[in-house]
Amino acid sequence: MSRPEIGTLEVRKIRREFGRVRAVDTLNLKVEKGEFLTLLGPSGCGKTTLLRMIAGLERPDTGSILISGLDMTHSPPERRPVNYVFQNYALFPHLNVERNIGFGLKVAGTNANEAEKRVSEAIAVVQLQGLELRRVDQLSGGQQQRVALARAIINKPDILLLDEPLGALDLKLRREMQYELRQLHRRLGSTFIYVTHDQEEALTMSDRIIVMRNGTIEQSGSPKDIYKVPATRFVAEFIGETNILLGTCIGSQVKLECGAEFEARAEVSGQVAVSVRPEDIWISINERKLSDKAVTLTGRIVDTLFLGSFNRHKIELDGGIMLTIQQAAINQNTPLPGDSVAVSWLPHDAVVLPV
Amino acid sequence: MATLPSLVLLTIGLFLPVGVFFFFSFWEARLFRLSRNWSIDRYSEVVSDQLYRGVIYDTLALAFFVATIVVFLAYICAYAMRFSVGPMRRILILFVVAPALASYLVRIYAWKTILSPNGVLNWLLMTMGLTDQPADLLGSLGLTVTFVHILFPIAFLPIYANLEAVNRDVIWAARDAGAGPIQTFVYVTLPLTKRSIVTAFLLVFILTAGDYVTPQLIGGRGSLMVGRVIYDQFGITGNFPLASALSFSLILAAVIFLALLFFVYRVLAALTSLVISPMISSLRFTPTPRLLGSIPWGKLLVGLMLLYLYFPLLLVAILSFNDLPIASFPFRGFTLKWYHEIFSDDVIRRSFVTSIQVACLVSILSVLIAVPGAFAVTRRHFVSKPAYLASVVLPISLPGVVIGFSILAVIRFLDWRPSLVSVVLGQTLYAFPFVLLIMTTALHDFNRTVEEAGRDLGCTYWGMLYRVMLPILLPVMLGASIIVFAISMDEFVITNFLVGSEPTLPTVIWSIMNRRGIPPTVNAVATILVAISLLFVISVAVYTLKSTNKRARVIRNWED
Repeated sequence: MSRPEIGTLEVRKIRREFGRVRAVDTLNLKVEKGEFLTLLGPSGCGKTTLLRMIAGLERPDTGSILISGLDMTHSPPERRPVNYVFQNYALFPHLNVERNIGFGLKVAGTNANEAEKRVSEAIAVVQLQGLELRRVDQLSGGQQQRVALARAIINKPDILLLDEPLGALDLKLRREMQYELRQLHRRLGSTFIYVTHDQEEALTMSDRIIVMRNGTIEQSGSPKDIYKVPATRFVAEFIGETNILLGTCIGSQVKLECGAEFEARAEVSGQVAVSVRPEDIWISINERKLSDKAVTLTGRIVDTLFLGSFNRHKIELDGGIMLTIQQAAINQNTPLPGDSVAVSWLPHDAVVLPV
Repeated sequence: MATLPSLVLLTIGLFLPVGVFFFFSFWEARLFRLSRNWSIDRYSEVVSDQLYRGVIYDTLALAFFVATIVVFLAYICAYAMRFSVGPMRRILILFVVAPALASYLVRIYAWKTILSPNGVLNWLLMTMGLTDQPADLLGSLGLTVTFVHILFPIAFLPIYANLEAVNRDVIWAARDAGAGPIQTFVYVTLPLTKRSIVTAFLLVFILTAGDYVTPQLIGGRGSLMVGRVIYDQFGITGNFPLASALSFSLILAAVIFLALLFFVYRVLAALTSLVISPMISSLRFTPTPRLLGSIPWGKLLVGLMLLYLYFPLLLVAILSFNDLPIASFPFRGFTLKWYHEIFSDDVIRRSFVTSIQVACLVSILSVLIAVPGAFAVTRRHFVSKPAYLASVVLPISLPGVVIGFSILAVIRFLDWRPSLVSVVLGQTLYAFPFVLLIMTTALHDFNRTVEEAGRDLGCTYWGMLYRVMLPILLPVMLGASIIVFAISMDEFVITNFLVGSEPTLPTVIWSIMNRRGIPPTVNAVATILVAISLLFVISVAVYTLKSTNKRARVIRNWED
């Protein structure tokens, strides 16, 4: 049991087509033991299909899957040391809470005392004490979610696969469960692979995020990297909010359509899209520069949203292009709609991407 | 209030007649007249007479045997259809439904064509030189084969619907938790479909036990069934009290038998969980050998099932073009003369028109009676709702021979004559539960906020019904009434008791079938009927699929 590969995953050149749709397209992936990895992408990007192939619920057309170092490409789901938390929980409607959770032990032929002990442990972990004999259709969404989770972790999987497990919960409960899942991950120390289309959820929970699009990996990296240094325009726009400004780039000199020019570390040339996050843009009524290097443009505030700890401004630049800017709501003299303002950002906060 | 029309119909068509019919069993028949001497002599006659006792026993045994086979086959096929056939199954299912709705007599007749002494199978056996005498294929074996065939769709549909409702991810969840395919089936799929298995078993059991048509055509001389004996009491001797006592004895015996069966089942289930479960737990998954694994067993099975359902009908159709005076092989040459014959036959033509008139009336009445009932069931709370629902399904769960006979008994009792009025009454009684069940499902799935939006935007309750609900539910109502139309066109078991001087088409076909030396004119009529009903059912289903389900279907297909 002490093989070092336990809890690792390797996916090699995997592909799956549904009719003419290529759900997962020749994809490679490696996951370390104990990692909390999130597969993030819009619906239809192939993230769930990939997860289902890892669990053995879907067969790949080509490619192979190694779980804990063993080739499991053709193993049925019951032979894989992974467990799956289904999006809509897929609880057994004919069994009560206790029996749902203990199902894996029952089919494995675990002896009754041992099974009973582990079920009550699992129930304690997900805090469902007192509901053991309840029918699952009499539980709230959050409680059903916990049953699904307990049913999966009781089998002590090397890798836990979670398919949008919080998608059906309301915002507040979702936040709470995000926190609890992190705790659980730390406690169990096993590998978690988590699928979601919610970029905020991905950012808060993961060690590493894989952004998927059209069945391929768009970018893989830590949440901070993905957010700060998106590899493509798609990633920049999908993760968080951003301003995309079009322009051209020659050498390291970027020239935007709206007039500004600046120097940037750019690996592309020709037509480019420059991404600047709303919180990286500074706004001032008098045209005070942020620094000498800062890129500065002028415009007019169209609308301002008050969001508690910060304000969000919609600004129409002199050229007609719209920008979104986020500014901490600390000072009293916030600019008002209609005001003429200067906006500026530091070149290193701008990411230059291919169009 | 909304349940009133259906309750009136149930009272007139079912509760009163069956009640009166029940009284009959305590009276006596003397020279074709009833004498009201109260006694339980009829029951002691049934119990003490070796013949009647034996017939009841044989009937229940056959019904049990048939129901077991049918449910087993239907389950395997429904399972294959659900899990091995892609989105195509939503179309294929129509081809299973179509022969179930139309062609009851035709399908029995088809088996007679196959099994009778000068029938197709004997022709085949003799041509191949396997026998030189026609083998006697009628009797118990023939009965079983025929019952299994005609009742298959009735068991298939509830089981399939149940399996369709099982979330595929629930099954995957079991596999994911470590259960092999066999364990998954035993611990998850089977328990989730237990109810439909029971329903299917009961339906097939009741329909077999009460049938009198199949034994008449296929039973041969040796095998008697209660349905036929009851029917004979009416047709030959006019002994209503004995028929009544037999009917209620049959029902009582069936109830006792089923209760026993349930008890045995519970004992077996308890034993199973003690003995078998540990055995199942020790079963590990063994991968299927590559060769066997590469064959698409499920699709193959579904194909075989459709072939099985349709080959007798196909045979009937082929023989309708055969230039031979009996409906059998060899094929002597193509002819349309049987079609010419039926088109020039006045009786058939008139009965066809009568059937259409009756079917139209029954469709309209069924919808008018069932729709308010469905509203009451889905939109109101009333204490007696379970009792109401139970009485609604009574007309389809009681043997047709009992219902038909009861209504006839009352008509005779009142010195009236059976006529198209009684036919319409009997058929509406039998057909409206189908509409009620279909409408209940539709109303159940109906988005109630749409109703509230209608009211919010200024409609009165009735205005909302007219402007909002009616347009949305119209396709379903239309579909339901066309299904009723098909049922009515085909209904024979009850109708046969209730026709007066104007016969419907199935009763005319029946009288031709019972003549000696069946001419292929029956095949011609049968072929036309089957073709019409197939066309009807399929076009309706395609229409409803298209109009109401487009979006849902797209989503579901994607999930598949």
